[in-house]
Amino acid sequence: MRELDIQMSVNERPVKQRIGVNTLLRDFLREDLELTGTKGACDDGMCGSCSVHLDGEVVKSCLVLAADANGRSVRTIEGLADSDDVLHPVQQALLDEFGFQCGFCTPGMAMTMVYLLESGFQPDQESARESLVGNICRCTGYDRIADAMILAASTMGENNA
Amino acid sequence: MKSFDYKAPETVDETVSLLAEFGSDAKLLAGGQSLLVLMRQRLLAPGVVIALSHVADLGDIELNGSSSIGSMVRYKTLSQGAIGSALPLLARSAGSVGSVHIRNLGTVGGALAHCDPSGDVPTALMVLGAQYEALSSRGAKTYDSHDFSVGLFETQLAEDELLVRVAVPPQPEGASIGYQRFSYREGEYPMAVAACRLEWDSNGRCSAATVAVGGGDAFPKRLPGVEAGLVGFDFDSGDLESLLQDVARPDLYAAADIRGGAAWKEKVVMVTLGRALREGHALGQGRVDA
Repeated sequence: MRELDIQMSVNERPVKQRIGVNTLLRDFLREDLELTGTKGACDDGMCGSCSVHLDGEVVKSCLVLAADANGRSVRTIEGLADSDDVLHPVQQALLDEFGFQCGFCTPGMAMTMVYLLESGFQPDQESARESLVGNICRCTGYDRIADAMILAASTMGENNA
Repeated sequence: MKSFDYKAPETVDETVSLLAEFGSDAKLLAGGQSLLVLMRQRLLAPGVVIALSHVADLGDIELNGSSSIGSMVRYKTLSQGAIGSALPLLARSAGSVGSVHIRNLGTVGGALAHCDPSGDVPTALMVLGAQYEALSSRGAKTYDSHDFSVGLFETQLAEDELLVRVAVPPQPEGASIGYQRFSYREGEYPMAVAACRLEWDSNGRCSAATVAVGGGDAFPKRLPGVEAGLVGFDFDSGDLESLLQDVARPDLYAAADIRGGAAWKEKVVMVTLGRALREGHALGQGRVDA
Protein backbone atom coordinates (compact mmCIF):
# COMPACT_ATOMS: atom_id res chain seq x y z
CA MET A 1 0.00 0.00 0.00
CA ARG A 2 1.16 3.52 -0.76
CA GLU A 3 -1.50 5.27 1.29
CA LEU A 4 -2.82 4.36 4.68
CA ASP A 5 -5.66 5.48 6.94
CA ILE A 6 -4.16 6.10 10.32
CA GLN A 7 -5.57 7.14 13.64
CA MET A 8 -3.74 8.31 16.68
CA SER A 9 -4.23 10.40 19.74
CA VAL A 10 -2.39 13.73 19.45
CA ASN A 11 -2.28 15.81 22.61
CA GLU A 12 -5.18 13.71 23.87
CA ARG A 13 -7.34 14.47 20.82
CA PRO A 14 -8.26 11.63 18.44
CA VAL A 15 -6.99 12.20 14.91
CA LYS A 16 -7.87 10.30 11.72
CA GLN A 17 -6.18 10.93 8.41
CA ARG A 18 -5.19 9.29 5.15
CA ILE A 19 -1.46 9.64 4.64
CA GLY A 20 1.23 8.66 2.17
CA VAL A 21 3.15 5.80 3.77
CA ASN A 22 6.46 7.63 3.30
CA THR A 23 5.26 10.55 5.46
CA LEU A 24 7.43 11.22 8.48
CA LEU A 25 5.66 11.70 11.80
CA ARG A 26 7.20 15.18 11.91
CA ASP A 27 5.68 16.18 8.58
CA PHE A 28 2.34 14.65 9.51
CA LEU A 29 2.26 16.80 12.67
CA ARG A 30 3.43 19.97 10.97
CA GLU A 31 1.72 19.78 7.59
CA ASP A 32 -1.40 17.67 8.08
CA LEU A 33 -2.24 18.74 11.63
CA GLU A 34 -0.61 22.20 11.41
CA LEU A 35 1.11 21.66 14.75
CA THR A 36 4.15 23.68 13.74
CA GLY A 37 5.68 23.89 17.21
CA THR A 38 7.57 20.72 16.33
CA LYS A 39 10.49 21.88 14.20
CA GLY A 40 12.53 20.25 11.49
CA ALA A 41 16.15 21.15 10.84
CA CYS A 42 18.87 18.59 10.29
CA ASP A 43 16.85 15.85 8.58
CA ASP A 44 19.21 13.13 9.80
CA GLY A 45 18.27 12.63 13.42
CA MET A 46 21.09 14.66 14.97
CA CYS A 47 19.52 17.95 16.05
CA GLY A 48 16.50 16.95 18.15
CA SER A 49 14.37 19.96 17.19
CA CYS A 50 11.58 17.57 16.14
CA SER A 51 11.43 15.77 19.54
CA VAL A 52 7.94 14.62 20.55
CA HIS A 53 6.59 11.95 22.88
CA LEU A 54 5.37 8.69 21.35
CA ASP A 55 3.43 6.58 23.87
CA GLY A 56 5.01 8.67 26.61
CA GLU A 57 8.61 8.31 25.42
CA VAL A 58 10.64 11.03 23.76
CA VAL A 59 11.62 10.30 20.15
CA LYS A 60 12.78 12.24 17.13
CA SER A 61 9.74 12.56 14.91
CA CYS A 62 11.93 12.73 11.78
CA LEU A 63 13.03 9.16 12.58
CA VAL A 64 9.51 7.72 12.78
CA LEU A 65 7.12 7.01 9.93
CA ALA A 66 3.65 8.36 10.61
CA ALA A 67 2.44 4.92 9.49
CA ASP A 68 4.42 3.32 12.33
CA ALA A 69 2.72 5.66 14.82
CA ASN A 70 -0.68 4.34 13.76
CA GLY A 71 -2.80 3.57 16.82
CA ARG A 72 -0.40 5.21 19.24
CA SER A 73 -0.45 8.42 21.24
CA VAL A 74 1.65 11.48 20.52
CA ARG A 75 2.34 14.53 22.67
CA THR A 76 3.85 17.66 21.16
CA ILE A 77 4.96 21.02 22.52
CA GLU A 78 1.39 22.26 21.92
CA GLY A 79 0.18 19.69 24.46
CA LEU A 80 2.41 20.77 27.35
CA ALA A 81 0.72 23.86 28.80
CA ASP A 82 -2.48 23.47 30.81
CA SER A 83 -3.84 26.66 29.25
CA ASP A 84 -2.65 29.80 27.48
CA ASP A 85 -2.03 31.35 30.89
CA VAL A 86 -0.35 28.48 32.71
CA LEU A 87 2.78 27.09 31.12
CA HIS A 88 4.28 23.69 31.89
CA PRO A 89 7.01 24.04 34.56
CA VAL A 90 9.65 23.25 31.93
CA GLN A 91 8.36 26.00 29.62
CA GLN A 92 8.16 28.44 32.55
CA ALA A 93 11.70 27.56 33.63
CA LEU A 94 13.05 28.10 30.10
CA LEU A 95 11.41 31.53 30.17
CA ASP A 96 12.57 32.39 33.71
CA GLU A 97 16.17 31.32 33.09
CA PHE A 98 16.21 32.75 29.54
CA GLY A 99 17.13 29.27 28.35
CA PHE A 100 16.95 30.16 24.65
CA GLN A 101 17.90 32.83 22.16
CA CYS A 102 16.34 32.28 18.74
CA GLY A 103 14.01 29.62 20.19
CA PHE A 104 14.15 27.22 17.26
CA CYS A 105 15.51 24.30 19.32
CA THR A 106 13.35 25.12 22.34
CA PRO A 107 10.29 22.93 21.64
CA GLY A 108 12.55 19.90 21.16
CA MET A 109 14.59 20.76 24.24
CA ALA A 110 11.39 21.13 26.25
CA MET A 111 9.98 17.78 25.12
CA THR A 112 13.22 15.99 26.01
CA MET A 113 13.41 17.73 29.40
CA VAL A 114 9.78 16.89 30.20
CA TYR A 115 10.36 13.22 29.39
CA LEU A 116 13.52 13.00 31.48
CA LEU A 117 12.12 14.95 34.44
CA GLU A 118 8.85 13.01 34.42
CA SER A 119 10.99 9.85 34.56
CA GLY A 120 12.44 11.18 37.84
CA PHE A 121 15.80 12.43 36.55
CA GLN A 122 17.45 14.89 38.97
CA PRO A 123 19.90 16.96 36.92
CA ASP A 124 22.90 19.05 37.88
CA GLN A 125 24.78 21.24 35.37
CA GLU A 126 26.90 18.39 34.06
CA SER A 127 24.28 15.64 33.93
CA ALA A 128 21.72 18.05 32.44
CA ARG A 129 24.06 18.83 29.56
CA GLU A 130 24.85 15.16 29.04
CA SER A 131 21.16 14.22 29.08
CA LEU A 132 20.43 16.78 26.36
CA VAL A 133 23.11 15.49 24.00
CA GLY A 134 20.44 14.64 21.42
CA ASN A 135 19.24 18.25 21.25
CA ILE A 136 21.47 20.81 19.61
CA CYS A 137 21.30 24.56 20.24
CA ARG A 138 23.37 26.69 17.88
CA CYS A 139 22.87 30.00 19.73
CA THR A 140 23.74 29.47 23.37
CA GLY A 141 26.41 27.82 25.44
CA TYR A 142 23.87 25.45 27.06
CA ASP A 143 24.45 26.92 30.56
CA ARG A 144 21.08 28.65 30.65
CA ILE A 145 19.36 25.64 29.17
CA ALA A 146 20.82 23.41 31.88
CA ASP A 147 19.87 26.02 34.51
CA ALA A 148 16.30 25.91 33.21
CA MET A 149 16.24 22.12 33.46
CA ILE A 150 17.48 22.25 37.04
CA LEU A 151 14.88 24.88 37.95
CA ALA A 152 12.13 22.85 36.28
CA ALA A 153 13.19 19.74 38.20
CA SER A 154 12.79 21.60 41.46
CA THR A 155 9.41 23.12 40.48
CA MET A 156 8.11 19.73 39.37
CA GLY A 157 9.40 18.18 42.60
CA GLU A 158 7.53 20.81 44.66
CA ASN A 159 4.35 20.34 42.63
CA ASN A 160 4.46 16.63 43.37
CA ALA A 161 5.29 17.06 47.07
CA MET B 1 12.27 10.07 0.70
CA LYS B 2 11.28 7.99 -2.33
CA SER B 3 7.90 6.36 -2.24
CA PHE B 4 7.61 2.71 -1.29
CA ASP B 5 5.09 0.05 -0.56
CA TYR B 6 4.45 -0.32 3.19
CA LYS B 7 3.66 -3.66 4.82
CA ALA B 8 2.78 -4.05 8.48
CA PRO B 9 2.70 -7.79 9.25
CA GLU B 10 1.54 -8.97 12.66
CA THR B 11 3.24 -12.35 12.89
CA VAL B 12 6.68 -13.77 12.25
CA ASP B 13 5.23 -16.18 9.65
CA GLU B 14 3.64 -13.33 7.75
CA THR B 15 6.91 -11.37 7.85
CA VAL B 16 8.91 -14.31 6.54
CA SER B 17 6.42 -14.81 3.68
CA LEU B 18 6.72 -11.15 2.73
CA LEU B 19 10.51 -11.45 2.73
CA ALA B 20 10.29 -14.53 0.51
CA GLU B 21 8.08 -12.60 -1.89
CA PHE B 22 9.92 -9.27 -2.00
CA GLY B 23 13.44 -10.31 -0.92
CA SER B 24 16.01 -8.05 -2.51
CA ASP B 25 13.56 -5.17 -3.04
CA ALA B 26 12.48 -5.11 0.63
CA LYS B 27 13.93 -3.60 3.80
CA LEU B 28 12.87 -4.51 7.30
CA LEU B 29 12.05 -1.47 9.42
CA ALA B 30 12.87 -2.12 13.08
CA GLY B 31 13.42 1.01 15.19
CA GLY B 32 14.24 2.98 12.05
CA GLN B 33 16.96 5.06 13.69
CA SER B 34 19.47 4.27 10.95
CA LEU B 35 17.28 3.02 8.10
CA LEU B 36 15.12 6.14 7.81
CA VAL B 37 18.22 8.35 7.69
CA LEU B 38 19.74 6.23 4.91
CA MET B 39 16.47 6.28 2.99
CA ARG B 40 16.16 10.03 3.30
CA GLN B 41 19.73 10.45 2.08
CA ARG B 42 18.73 8.12 -0.78
CA LEU B 43 21.57 5.78 0.00
CA LEU B 44 18.79 3.20 0.17
CA ALA B 45 15.57 3.21 -1.80
CA PRO B 46 13.71 -0.03 -1.07
CA GLY B 47 10.56 -0.70 -3.08
CA VAL B 48 8.95 -2.33 -0.06
CA VAL B 49 9.29 -1.45 3.62
CA ILE B 50 8.22 -4.20 5.99
CA ALA B 51 7.55 -2.63 9.40
CA LEU B 52 8.28 -4.89 12.36
CA SER B 53 6.64 -2.69 14.99
CA HIS B 54 3.41 -4.70 15.00
CA VAL B 55 4.95 -8.19 14.84
CA ALA B 56 4.16 -10.19 17.97
CA ASP B 57 6.81 -12.14 19.90
CA LEU B 58 9.91 -10.25 18.73
CA GLY B 59 10.07 -8.27 21.98
CA ASP B 60 10.30 -11.22 24.39
CA ILE B 61 13.13 -11.53 26.89
CA GLU B 62 14.08 -14.60 28.93
CA LEU B 63 16.89 -14.40 31.42
CA ASN B 64 18.08 -17.48 33.24
CA GLY B 65 21.39 -19.28 32.75
CA SER B 66 21.12 -18.73 29.03
CA SER B 67 19.42 -15.58 27.90
CA SER B 68 17.12 -15.04 24.96
CA ILE B 69 16.44 -11.55 23.70
CA GLY B 70 13.93 -10.83 20.95
CA SER B 71 15.29 -8.87 18.01
CA MET B 72 12.86 -5.96 18.57
CA VAL B 73 13.97 -5.38 22.17
CA ARG B 74 14.97 -1.74 22.42
CA TYR B 75 18.19 -0.20 23.74
CA LYS B 76 16.14 1.37 26.51
CA THR B 77 15.06 -2.06 27.76
CA LEU B 78 18.53 -3.53 27.28
CA SER B 79 20.15 -0.79 29.32
CA GLN B 80 17.90 -1.11 32.36
CA GLY B 81 16.71 -3.37 35.14
CA ALA B 82 16.88 -7.10 34.68
CA ILE B 83 19.39 -7.07 31.82
CA GLY B 84 21.55 -4.60 33.74
CA SER B 85 22.11 -7.17 36.48
CA ALA B 86 22.15 -10.31 34.31
CA LEU B 87 24.30 -9.01 31.45
CA PRO B 88 25.98 -5.78 32.55
CA LEU B 89 28.19 -5.56 29.46
CA LEU B 90 25.15 -5.64 27.19
CA ALA B 91 23.42 -3.04 29.34
CA ARG B 92 26.48 -0.76 29.30
CA SER B 93 26.79 -0.96 25.54
CA ALA B 94 23.09 -0.32 24.93
CA GLY B 95 23.07 2.60 27.37
CA SER B 96 25.95 4.19 25.44
CA VAL B 97 24.12 4.37 22.11
CA GLY B 98 23.06 7.75 20.78
CA SER B 99 20.78 9.93 22.86
CA VAL B 100 17.72 9.02 24.91
CA HIS B 101 15.58 9.44 21.77
CA ILE B 102 17.56 6.83 19.86
CA ARG B 103 17.54 4.42 22.82
CA ASN B 104 13.75 4.70 23.05
CA LEU B 105 13.33 3.33 19.51
CA GLY B 106 16.53 1.60 18.39
CA THR B 107 16.57 -2.19 18.68
CA VAL B 108 19.15 -4.93 19.13
CA GLY B 109 18.12 -6.64 15.88
CA GLY B 110 18.30 -3.37 14.00
CA ALA B 111 21.82 -2.73 15.28
CA LEU B 112 23.00 -6.20 14.30
CA ALA B 113 21.51 -6.12 10.82
CA HIS B 114 22.71 -2.54 10.20
CA CYS B 115 26.25 -3.56 11.25
CA ASP B 116 27.93 -0.22 11.80
CA PRO B 117 31.76 -0.42 11.98
CA SER B 118 31.68 0.81 15.59
CA GLY B 119 28.33 -0.53 16.73
CA ASP B 120 28.21 -0.62 20.52
CA VAL B 121 25.82 -3.53 21.00
CA PRO B 122 27.26 -5.77 18.24
CA THR B 123 30.76 -5.37 19.77
CA ALA B 124 29.50 -6.29 23.25
CA LEU B 125 27.52 -9.30 21.98
CA MET B 126 30.67 -10.71 20.34
CA VAL B 127 32.40 -10.72 23.71
CA LEU B 128 29.42 -12.45 25.31
CA GLY B 129 29.61 -15.23 22.70
CA ALA B 130 26.10 -14.52 21.44
CA GLN B 131 24.35 -16.41 18.67
CA TYR B 132 21.82 -14.91 16.32
CA GLU B 133 18.78 -16.87 15.22
CA ALA B 134 17.24 -16.09 11.85
CA LEU B 135 14.15 -17.41 10.10
CA SER B 136 13.22 -17.57 6.46
CA SER B 137 10.75 -19.58 4.41
CA ARG B 138 13.68 -21.99 3.90
CA GLY B 139 13.93 -22.66 7.63
CA ALA B 140 15.84 -21.57 10.71
CA LYS B 141 19.51 -20.71 10.81
CA THR B 142 21.85 -19.76 13.63
CA TYR B 143 24.80 -17.43 13.16
CA ASP B 144 27.77 -17.00 15.48
CA SER B 145 28.48 -13.45 16.57
CA HIS B 146 32.20 -13.84 15.85
CA ASP B 147 31.73 -14.17 12.08
CA PHE B 148 28.26 -12.67 11.60
CA SER B 149 29.64 -9.47 10.05
CA VAL B 150 31.37 -9.84 6.71
CA GLY B 151 31.89 -6.31 5.42
CA LEU B 152 31.04 -2.65 5.77
CA PHE B 153 27.33 -2.62 6.78
CA GLU B 154 27.20 -6.22 5.61
CA THR B 155 26.31 -9.40 7.50
CA GLN B 156 25.75 -13.05 6.66
CA LEU B 157 21.97 -12.54 6.85
CA ALA B 158 20.34 -13.48 3.55
CA GLU B 159 17.88 -11.11 1.92
CA ASP B 160 14.93 -13.32 2.84
CA GLU B 161 15.94 -13.82 6.48
CA LEU B 162 14.44 -12.23 9.58
CA LEU B 163 16.61 -11.96 12.69
CA VAL B 164 14.30 -13.22 15.43
CA ARG B 165 16.37 -13.46 18.57
CA VAL B 166 19.73 -13.20 20.21
CA ALA B 167 20.85 -16.08 22.42
CA VAL B 168 23.50 -15.36 25.04
CA PRO B 169 25.11 -18.39 26.73
CA PRO B 170 25.70 -18.50 30.50
CA GLN B 171 28.63 -16.28 31.40
CA PRO B 172 31.61 -17.72 33.29
CA GLU B 173 31.46 -17.44 37.07
CA GLY B 174 33.60 -14.62 38.45
CA ALA B 175 34.34 -13.02 35.08
CA SER B 176 34.64 -9.23 34.95
CA ILE B 177 33.85 -6.96 32.05
CA GLY B 178 35.31 -3.80 30.57
CA TYR B 179 33.65 -1.47 28.10
CA GLN B 180 35.07 1.75 26.70
CA ARG B 181 34.29 3.97 23.77
CA PHE B 182 35.97 7.03 22.31
CA SER B 183 34.05 9.89 20.74
CA TYR B 184 34.41 13.67 20.72
CA ARG B 185 30.82 14.09 21.76
CA GLU B 186 28.44 11.94 23.79
CA GLY B 187 25.83 10.31 21.61
CA GLU B 188 27.90 9.97 18.47
CA TYR B 189 28.92 6.73 16.86
CA PRO B 190 32.27 6.23 18.59
CA MET B 191 35.58 6.37 16.74
CA ALA B 192 36.55 3.29 18.70
CA VAL B 193 34.73 0.88 20.95
CA ALA B 194 36.30 -1.93 22.96
CA ALA B 195 34.74 -4.63 25.10
CA CYS B 196 36.27 -7.45 27.11
CA ARG B 197 35.38 -10.27 29.46
CA LEU B 198 38.22 -11.41 31.71
CA GLU B 199 38.46 -14.46 33.95
CA TRP B 200 40.90 -14.74 36.83
CA ASP B 201 42.92 -17.46 38.51
CA SER B 202 43.58 -17.70 42.24
CA ASN B 203 46.77 -15.63 41.88
CA GLY B 204 44.91 -12.73 40.34
CA ARG B 205 46.26 -13.45 36.87
CA CYS B 206 44.07 -13.45 33.83
CA SER B 207 43.07 -17.03 33.02
CA ALA B 208 40.88 -16.41 29.97
CA ALA B 209 39.99 -13.36 27.89
CA THR B 210 37.41 -12.52 25.27
CA VAL B 211 38.05 -9.23 23.51
CA ALA B 212 36.43 -7.32 20.64
CA VAL B 213 36.94 -3.88 19.14
CA GLY B 214 35.05 -1.79 16.65
CA GLY B 215 35.74 1.45 14.86
CA GLY B 216 39.05 0.87 13.10
CA ASP B 217 38.00 -1.69 10.54
CA ALA B 218 34.87 -2.18 8.44
CA PHE B 219 33.06 -4.03 11.25
CA PRO B 220 33.65 -5.04 14.89
CA LYS B 221 36.07 -7.91 15.35
CA ARG B 222 37.27 -10.33 18.00
CA LEU B 223 41.02 -10.10 18.63
CA PRO B 224 42.29 -13.69 19.01
CA GLY B 225 45.91 -12.61 19.44
CA VAL B 226 45.02 -10.39 22.39
CA GLU B 227 42.81 -13.10 23.87
CA ALA B 228 45.68 -15.61 23.77
CA GLY B 229 48.29 -13.09 24.87
CA LEU B 230 46.37 -12.11 27.99
CA VAL B 231 46.22 -15.65 29.39
CA GLY B 232 48.57 -15.73 32.36
CA PHE B 233 49.10 -11.97 32.20
CA ASP B 234 49.58 -10.19 35.51
CA PHE B 235 48.03 -6.70 35.22
CA ASP B 236 49.76 -5.53 38.42
CA SER B 237 53.35 -6.26 37.37
CA GLY B 238 53.04 -6.68 33.59
CA ASP B 239 53.41 -4.00 30.93
CA LEU B 240 50.04 -3.93 29.16
CA GLU B 241 51.13 -1.38 26.55
CA SER B 242 54.00 -3.43 25.21
CA LEU B 243 51.93 -6.62 25.34
CA LEU B 244 49.27 -4.91 23.22
CA GLN B 245 51.90 -3.62 20.78
CA ASP B 246 52.93 -7.25 20.25
CA VAL B 247 49.59 -9.04 20.26
CA ALA B 248 46.98 -6.46 19.19
CA ARG B 249 48.73 -4.80 16.29
CA PRO B 250 48.71 -7.87 14.01
CA ASP B 251 44.92 -8.22 14.41
CA LEU B 252 44.16 -4.53 13.97
CA TYR B 253 43.42 -2.73 10.78
CA ALA B 254 42.38 0.89 10.82
CA ALA B 255 41.16 2.65 7.70
CA ALA B 256 41.42 6.40 7.24
CA ASP B 257 38.10 8.20 7.18
CA ILE B 258 36.67 11.68 7.62
CA ARG B 259 37.61 11.63 11.31
CA GLY B 260 41.29 10.88 10.91
CA GLY B 261 44.17 9.10 9.22
CA ALA B 262 44.83 5.37 9.58
CA ALA B 263 47.74 5.68 12.02
CA TRP B 264 45.82 8.02 14.30
CA LYS B 265 42.72 5.85 14.22
CA GLU B 266 44.77 2.78 15.04
CA LYS B 267 46.15 4.64 18.03
CA VAL B 268 42.63 5.57 19.16
CA VAL B 269 41.58 1.93 18.94
CA MET B 270 44.68 0.79 20.85
CA VAL B 271 44.14 3.36 23.62
CA THR B 272 40.45 2.49 23.91
CA LEU B 273 41.31 -1.22 24.05
CA GLY B 274 43.86 -0.59 26.81
CA ARG B 275 41.27 1.36 28.80
CA ALA B 276 38.69 -1.41 28.47
CA LEU B 277 41.18 -4.06 29.60
CA ARG B 278 42.31 -1.98 32.58
CA GLU B 279 38.69 -1.42 33.53
CA GLY B 280 38.05 -5.17 33.26
CA HIS B 281 41.01 -5.76 35.55
CA ALA B 282 39.87 -3.11 38.04
CA LEU B 283 36.37 -4.55 38.17
CA GLY B 284 37.81 -8.07 38.55
CA GLN B 285 39.79 -7.13 41.64
CA GLY B 286 38.24 -8.60 44.73
CA ARG B 287 36.47 -11.30 42.76
CA VAL B 288 39.55 -13.53 42.96
CA ASP B 289 38.91 -16.45 45.29
CA ALA B 290 35.55 -14.92 46.06
